[in-house]
Amino acid sequence: MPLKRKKKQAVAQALQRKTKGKPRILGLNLQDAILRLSKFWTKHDCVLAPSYDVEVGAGTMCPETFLRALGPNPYRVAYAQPSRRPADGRYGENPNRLLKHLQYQVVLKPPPRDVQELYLESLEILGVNFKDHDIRFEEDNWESPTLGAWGVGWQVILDGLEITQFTYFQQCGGMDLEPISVELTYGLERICAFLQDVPSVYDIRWSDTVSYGDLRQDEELQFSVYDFEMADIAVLFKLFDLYEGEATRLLNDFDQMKSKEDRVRFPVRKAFDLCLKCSHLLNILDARGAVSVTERVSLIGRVRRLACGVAPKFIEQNNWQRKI
Amino acid sequence: MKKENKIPLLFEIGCEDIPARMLEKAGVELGNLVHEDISKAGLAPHGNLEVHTFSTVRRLGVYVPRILKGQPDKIEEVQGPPSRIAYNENGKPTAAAKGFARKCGVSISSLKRKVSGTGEYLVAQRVQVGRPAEVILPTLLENAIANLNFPTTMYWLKKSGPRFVRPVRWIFALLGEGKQSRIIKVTFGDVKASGLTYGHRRDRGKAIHPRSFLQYSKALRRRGVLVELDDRRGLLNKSIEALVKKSGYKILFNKELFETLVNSTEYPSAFLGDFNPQFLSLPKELLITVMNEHQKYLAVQEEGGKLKPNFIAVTDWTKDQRGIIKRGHERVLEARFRDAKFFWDSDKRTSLGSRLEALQHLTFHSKLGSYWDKVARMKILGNEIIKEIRTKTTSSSKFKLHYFRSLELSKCDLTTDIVKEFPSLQGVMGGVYASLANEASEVANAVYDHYLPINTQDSCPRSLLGTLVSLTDKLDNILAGYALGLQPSGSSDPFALRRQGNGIVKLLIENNVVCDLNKVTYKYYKNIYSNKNHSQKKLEASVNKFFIERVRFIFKNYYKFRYDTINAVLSLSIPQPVCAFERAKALESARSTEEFINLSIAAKRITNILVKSKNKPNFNTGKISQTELENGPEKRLYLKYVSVEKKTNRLLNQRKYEEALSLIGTLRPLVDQFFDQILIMSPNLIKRKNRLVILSRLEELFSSVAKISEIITDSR
Repeated sequence: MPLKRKKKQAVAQALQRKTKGKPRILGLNLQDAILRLSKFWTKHDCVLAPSYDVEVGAGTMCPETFLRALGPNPYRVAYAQPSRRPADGRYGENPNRLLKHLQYQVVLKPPPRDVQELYLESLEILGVNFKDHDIRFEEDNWESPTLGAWGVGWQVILDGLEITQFTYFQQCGGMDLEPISVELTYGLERICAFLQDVPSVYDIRWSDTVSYGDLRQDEELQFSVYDFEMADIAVLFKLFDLYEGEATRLLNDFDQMKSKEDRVRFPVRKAFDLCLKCSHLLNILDARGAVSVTERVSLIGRVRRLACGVAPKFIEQNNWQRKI
Repeated sequence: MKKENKIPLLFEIGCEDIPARMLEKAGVELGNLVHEDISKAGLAPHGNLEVHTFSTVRRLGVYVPRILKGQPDKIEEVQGPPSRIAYNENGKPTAAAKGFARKCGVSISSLKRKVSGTGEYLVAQRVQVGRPAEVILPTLLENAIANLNFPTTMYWLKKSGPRFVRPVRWIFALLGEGKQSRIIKVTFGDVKASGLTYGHRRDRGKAIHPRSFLQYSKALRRRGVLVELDDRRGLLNKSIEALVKKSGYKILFNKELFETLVNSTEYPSAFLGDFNPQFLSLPKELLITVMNEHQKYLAVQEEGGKLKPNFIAVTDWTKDQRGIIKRGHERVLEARFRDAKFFWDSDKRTSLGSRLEALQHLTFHSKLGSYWDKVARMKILGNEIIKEIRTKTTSSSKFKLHYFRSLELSKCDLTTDIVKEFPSLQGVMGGVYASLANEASEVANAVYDHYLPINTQDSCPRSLLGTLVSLTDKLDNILAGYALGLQPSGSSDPFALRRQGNGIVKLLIENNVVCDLNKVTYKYYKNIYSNKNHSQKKLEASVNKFFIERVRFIFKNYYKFRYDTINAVLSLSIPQPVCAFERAKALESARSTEEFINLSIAAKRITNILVKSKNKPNFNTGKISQTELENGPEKRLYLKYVSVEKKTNRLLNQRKYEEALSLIGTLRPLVDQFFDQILIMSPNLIKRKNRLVILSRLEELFSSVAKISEIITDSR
């Protein structure tokens, strides 16, 4: 395809671009950004976790963040997480919007005193020299009505570009946290587009030879078509009901369990997975234009009820057995 | 007091980035708390305590140039046993006296005698030694941190606290100056005060240890921090002006944004960026919103108001010599504009009018249905409003056509991508899309303006049509909200109805539209809620009260009328805000004149008599019987009253309130004669009644512009 060839040419040109007489590749490849962040944060005692295998709207919804934030045990984790927001789909045409984007998620529980400084160091690891750039922490308090979670923090702005959400959690699943966690969510596409100085996310180099567009553009197109045009509304509502029903059944069954042994082995985590399924279905229905504002509020409430049902049960299990 | 008894105090809370919108207020409040607590602790030098506050995005600080080194000693008198018991007949102290002296820790010889009501007693003077500032200040400052209020706070160590707007990371607390200075042992959470502070974030945590305020502010300046808000304002202003001068452009100044910028930086400076002129094809309002709200850039325009493809952005303590930051901002703005253009292009594919249907799927409120339903209600309400406001303009069929078309289109832009993306552009984009769809320009402008005024300082719609559309929209929100029980109470106003009410009052007054809100309210509930078994009377009464309160609010806070003027006008319960406004204005300008004082004295005389005769209710009512009038003062007063009353009514109809007031004032000499020469409480009951009736009519006349007796006049 001529379009693809053109893009490859552009990538090759970017590779050959020269700065101050020395041949140099501009900015990090996206995969190198993941590697460098992982190396940095594992050095700071983070567990390097795999991406979660259930669709989520944000890295926060993964058990490694949502569930680990609950309870008293200290924990540090880092992972790259594809996050799906069907309503942001643009058929792969808009250079800045994606229905599935890649977040790099770091959770530090409890937050170290120098967390802001650590974060800045991690940007330097990515090649941001603060002598040449302007960084701002702009108030942005985060709230997830579907998770019954909120926190205070900032969006971090680098030369006018929002690159990270920086949040001190206060509540998760409707429960006050003690200790709290700090969550750093890096927007990898934005950061890489910035570092590589390319105007479109699809022009980002994933590796030296493969661009973001090569890898993902058709996925954006196909999922946009499904989410906006082809998703069967009745089926999705039915699935929502089924997943919700199964999760509710589990949560009720837990309450029936009397012995500690039964409760320890009880699949609370599965109930949470089912809650995530509901959340994703709600997002597709929303993108499909199938829910009115009021309906949306009530669906969000139903997902939240599940998340808030899971949280105390997870903590209860946590108190018996877990180190982390 | 010796000079060295006073020393300076410098205190700084180092905090992770404080939200710009809260910063200035928090600084001022910290100053107030410290001022109050130092005064209470008795550490203020001779009641003259100077407290200077400063703040940046990473710090809140207080500098007190002079504080007492310690509390002054207090002499305390302790009463002991009566003299007759304390001394024997030889004048020698007894065991009682010795015991008392021991208890107070003073020698017997220092005891004094003092006569009080019940006899003579021994008195010991004890010195209560004042505590040094160093001992008092730690708790005092800790309390000041803890008592500081923020709209949202957080905890970061324990659920039980401490709480602050963001984590506190260092505290600098210094008492005294130079070598004499000491660190005050303030503790907050896991932070202990030190003599160290830190510069700009880009300075990467290198500690500074100043030993005076001068050293502090100088060292920080070198490290990229201007602690004084005014210094940052000045610097940014200068920097912006330099750019403007160089380029010859004008900036579109936005005060709120400017303040955000100085409150979110420590050493601001501005640069001029460019964007691709092709984006100038987008609506100006859209470009400005993207620049102001999303990117915090000031927009730049030519003399004539045409936007330039430039923006002014602010950096913090960097020269950006290689232009890297500028390039970064330009790219981000380009991406934002491209995004906006994407929405704009896709919106344009559907004309505004054909979006009406889509309003059915857009919920206005769960219990009030969709925006489609809202538009239907607005049209019903519009019918009543157009009947109520019957002027030459509004009666034309063209005006009516435009009015209903505007109502229909007013909410259509809520379905556009641009408004979903930039909600603050609601209305504005509707207007833009209306012009694009070749709607009449009057209609487009009315839709454009119909959310105005958004607050009391905001401007009102440009045209009468826009005014009526805005009125209809807001009034529907209020009346529908009240019908649902969403009325404001106390500090809660879930539907922001007070703001809408203020908007209605202001726009009716500013655009000089006479509209009887009570009548329209009545019709609205009758048409829309008649069969829903609402207690309609009660609903109307509470809406009427709501509007009186909104008028009071606007009179007081926006027009700054005096409170008794407001009372005098509002006690008449005039349902047309603009008429109430004109009466208040007439009263304000008349109230210090000779004529008015005449009027008010006469009014008071009348009211006094009538109050006295109130226990005989029938005396004030009924018609004036002409046959009972006596020639002389009584008849003269009556004749004058008749003619004044007639003319006054005419003036009131023409809303010439000031003239009406001075006309009524001409009655005073006759009222005086009447009082002086006529026995009102005549033994002849028929005559008495007739005279009281005359006075009642006069009182009514005197209160026809405003309740004069509410006015507190200075001279008698």
